Amino acid sequence: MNDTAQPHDELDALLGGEVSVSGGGDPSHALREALRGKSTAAFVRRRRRRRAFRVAGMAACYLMGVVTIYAFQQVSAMPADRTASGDTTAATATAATTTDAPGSAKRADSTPVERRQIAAGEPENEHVRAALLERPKIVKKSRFDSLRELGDRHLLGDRNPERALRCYRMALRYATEEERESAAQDGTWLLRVICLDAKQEHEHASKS
Amino acid sequence: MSPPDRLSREQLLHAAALAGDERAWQALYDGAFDGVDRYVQWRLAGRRAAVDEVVQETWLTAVRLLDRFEPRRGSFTQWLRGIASNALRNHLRRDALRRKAFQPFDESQYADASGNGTAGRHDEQTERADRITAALAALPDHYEEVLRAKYVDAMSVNEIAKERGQTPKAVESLLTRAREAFRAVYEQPDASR
Repeated sequence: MNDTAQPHDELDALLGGEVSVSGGGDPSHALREALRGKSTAAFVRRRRRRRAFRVAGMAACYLMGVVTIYAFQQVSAMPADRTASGDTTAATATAATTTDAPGSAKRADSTPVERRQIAAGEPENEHVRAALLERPKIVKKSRFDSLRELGDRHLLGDRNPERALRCYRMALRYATEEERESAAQDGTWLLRVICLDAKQEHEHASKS
Repeated sequence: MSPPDRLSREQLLHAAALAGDERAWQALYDGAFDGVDRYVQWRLAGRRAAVDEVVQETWLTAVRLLDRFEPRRGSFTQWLRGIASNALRNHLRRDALRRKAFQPFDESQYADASGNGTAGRHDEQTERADRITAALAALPDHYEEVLRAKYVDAMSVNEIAKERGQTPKAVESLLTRAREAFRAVYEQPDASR
């Protein structure tokens, strides 16, 4: 079947667009232009929106940077202020297992920034440097000391010798020889009794 | 334009349009507008008001979904024809619902003798246009494609065969079957409903 040889029948007329109701024909120039304007406007809007997002993103990044620098400056300035006012901060006031030794002239624990300042010999001023060095040292207590304190609290504070006894026994398990001696001398009556008892037991055992 | 040229041109224009370049979009628009309009006009048997409505819907959808267009899978005009086909389906569905809701006014009972001839001819044309539209809508996609290639794009059998990757004989056979299928639907008494 060749295209040119094919007879032009009614079906060709129907399918070839020869049937059209009134108003049919070429697309109106107005529609074409209106659609072009409408679709182009959508693109312009899209481009503007994208640009606005980009600018907003950059502004947000800039603001975040400014806030970060401000916050960093605040944090850097904070230790000097705190030390000058003699305030105890959350960083230095640690858990119950630590204790302050007031009045001791030990070298203070300091933050890395402070240490860097001291090491470099460039503290903000001498007053701050002195205050940093004067800050009480945080001494970590031994397990014996902690348990002994707890026993003291039970015995003297709660008036509960049973609990105090348990704590003291456990404390003595971790005690060094020096600690045992000091406990036998300046401990509470219960601690002294336990120490004495333990000492006698030890002597009997070594004799036998 | 050869297929590789078409592909690289459309890829460039598509990327530029997505980046917000309105001149790229206008180039795509100008290149495809006539093809889409001709296709919709063919499918709606030239009813200009309906054609304008569908063409408008097609382009506005195309703007919205431009990022989904993939030049490697087909030309921009082909992609638009797909959108137009969906828009046509929606239009015909709405049209059918409208017809169901509002029974047409029978003018012939009330028209005076002087206006009868013109009104009758117009009705007959409208009826034929409706039947063509309904018959084309009822055809399977491969029949519709081959008829479109012949009657809208005015392609020869050889060109259609080359595009579809078939022999001219197979395309002739397909065309014959498509025309027969069209005739069968067109000649049904209630084809336009």
